[in-house]
Amino acid sequence: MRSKLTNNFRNFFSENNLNVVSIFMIAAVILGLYLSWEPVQISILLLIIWIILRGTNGQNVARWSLIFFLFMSVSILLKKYDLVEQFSLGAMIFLFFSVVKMSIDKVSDDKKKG
Amino acid sequence: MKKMKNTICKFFFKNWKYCFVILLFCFAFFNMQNLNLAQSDLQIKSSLDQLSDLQKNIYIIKNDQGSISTETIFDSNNGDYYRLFFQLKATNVTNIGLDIGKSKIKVILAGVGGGRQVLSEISVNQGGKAEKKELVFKTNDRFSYLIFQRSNADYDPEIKIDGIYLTRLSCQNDQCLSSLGQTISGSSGEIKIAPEMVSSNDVLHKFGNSKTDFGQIFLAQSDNLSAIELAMDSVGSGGLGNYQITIKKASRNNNLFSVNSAVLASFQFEPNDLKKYLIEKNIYRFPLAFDTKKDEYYYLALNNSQVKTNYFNSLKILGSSDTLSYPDGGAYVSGSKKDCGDLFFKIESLQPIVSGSVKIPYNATIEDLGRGTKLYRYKFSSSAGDYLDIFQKSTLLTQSPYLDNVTGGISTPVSDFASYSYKFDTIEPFGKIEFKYRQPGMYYVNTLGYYSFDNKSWQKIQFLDPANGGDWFGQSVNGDGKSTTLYLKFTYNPQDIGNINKLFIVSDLEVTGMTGNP
Repeated sequence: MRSKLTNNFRNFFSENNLNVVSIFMIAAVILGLYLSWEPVQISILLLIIWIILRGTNGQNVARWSLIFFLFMSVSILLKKYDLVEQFSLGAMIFLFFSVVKMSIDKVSDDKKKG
Repeated sequence: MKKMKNTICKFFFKNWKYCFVILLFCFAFFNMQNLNLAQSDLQIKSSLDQLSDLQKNIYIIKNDQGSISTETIFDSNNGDYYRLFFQLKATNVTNIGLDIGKSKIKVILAGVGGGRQVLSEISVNQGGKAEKKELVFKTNDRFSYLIFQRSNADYDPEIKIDGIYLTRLSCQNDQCLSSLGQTISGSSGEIKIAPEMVSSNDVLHKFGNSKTDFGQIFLAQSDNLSAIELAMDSVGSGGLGNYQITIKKASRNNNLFSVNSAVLASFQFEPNDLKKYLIEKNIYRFPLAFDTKKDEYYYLALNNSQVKTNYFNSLKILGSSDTLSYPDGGAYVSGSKKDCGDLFFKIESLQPIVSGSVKIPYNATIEDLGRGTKLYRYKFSSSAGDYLDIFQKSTLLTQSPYLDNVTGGISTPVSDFASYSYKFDTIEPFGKIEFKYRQPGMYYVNTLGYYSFDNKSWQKIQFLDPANGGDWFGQSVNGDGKSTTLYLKFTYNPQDIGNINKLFIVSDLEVTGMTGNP
């Protein structure tokens, strides 16, 4: 049963036609710009927020990690070494997240089965 | 109350994802600001550095370069005799191997017509400190510039060459050349390193969001501080802005230290520029000048008051967490009594050269040109010598000049007719002596310069022709055949004290005099 506070919180967004995830995404972009982040860094934050709020399985997160590895390789070929650093950071973050997410998925699957 | 607590707990439990994202935002807000210079700013800074190097006649053989040529610096004929001075330093020491034979460069004379003469193959100092070199040679062709070339392409650190100075000798034969007297150089004095603490195994302090002073109390073991060495490790970009190293007077009462707030000497650096001061891994050497007194306590501190730092972009100060590693002081955050251990630090003191009974200024060189003539040459070097060479100055801190690495000269606060002077003793009577200095920029109070042969009757130094550069002052005067000393005094123009910066500055001071029968 949802608490009254939670209901009010949800009602505020639904009454104003606002999607909570999109609000957080916009806030992330504003925060990234305020902190003078590079576009790649803002993209990583957006993906992280999307994964946390929308939820996805561990395999999808691992795919994102692979995509960042791919970008990294392309950047090396193009000799854009400042981008390589950022893509490698993204790849590492998503690799870490994928392991965490897969572990969580595994535990919840076991619970459901058990 | 309990109900409210339950409601809040339920809210957080139900909305943990949103709360987590908000916490993530908060963490990012306080710790993850991008403190790297923008690419365009980096390019501008790099261009400005290159321009500044060119203006100061600094040449750098970059990692991927085999050699570098100077601009036209002379015009020799076959059979002329010259003396060449220059300083060498390996600015990037990361790739230096153990093979000393690799770390050599060739000095070559070059002419427009393609003529070449290899003067010498000399070794490059691997300690990260600049080393002065002197070569005397006879030309075998017409030459106009120099080439510095790596002897071995595998030896790839950046090599910085500066202080190039070439003098034409009066010699006309090899016999004269072999009988030349030894050059007297003020900078060749002994450098004492004491006190020191050389362990850098522990991280003693990491600068964060708060503005702090962190440093080491030490007991001076000799006069005239000329440089300091610290161990640091950069995190991320290191921060955005200027870190400041300061020296303050400290006193000891049993085991308690108190520090006077007045800054005696300071040095500012940007984290981006740290590699300029690197002498070995994580060890940096900074020029810092103050006439420290032996057996007195000082507080050497680093502060981040003018730099943006956070958890991911900061500087770590290294040392030893063992409080007994240096017995005469400790590492403290300013205002705290907690001894954090001891910083890695080395205090350098430059000992003056005395020739006869004359103290030779650090930036002075007296060279024998042959046939009874000598050249006295003095030039600011943007090092501690610029400050330590001061002959007379006010003892009041509010009037005392200091080495200012931001303006690149000697700065003095405008206060109660503050003035200071330099003394130049040529040892032998000089015939003609020239001197000049620069006062940089219009944002400072105008400097007034005076010269004297007896330190009593002063003549105003004239403004040089604007064609020589707007801010230059100087003149050429003839000696009376007896005088061996010249005094230069600097003060501020009292009619100009309304300026933005209450400082008057002297930079690029140069004195050149000939003794004997030129």
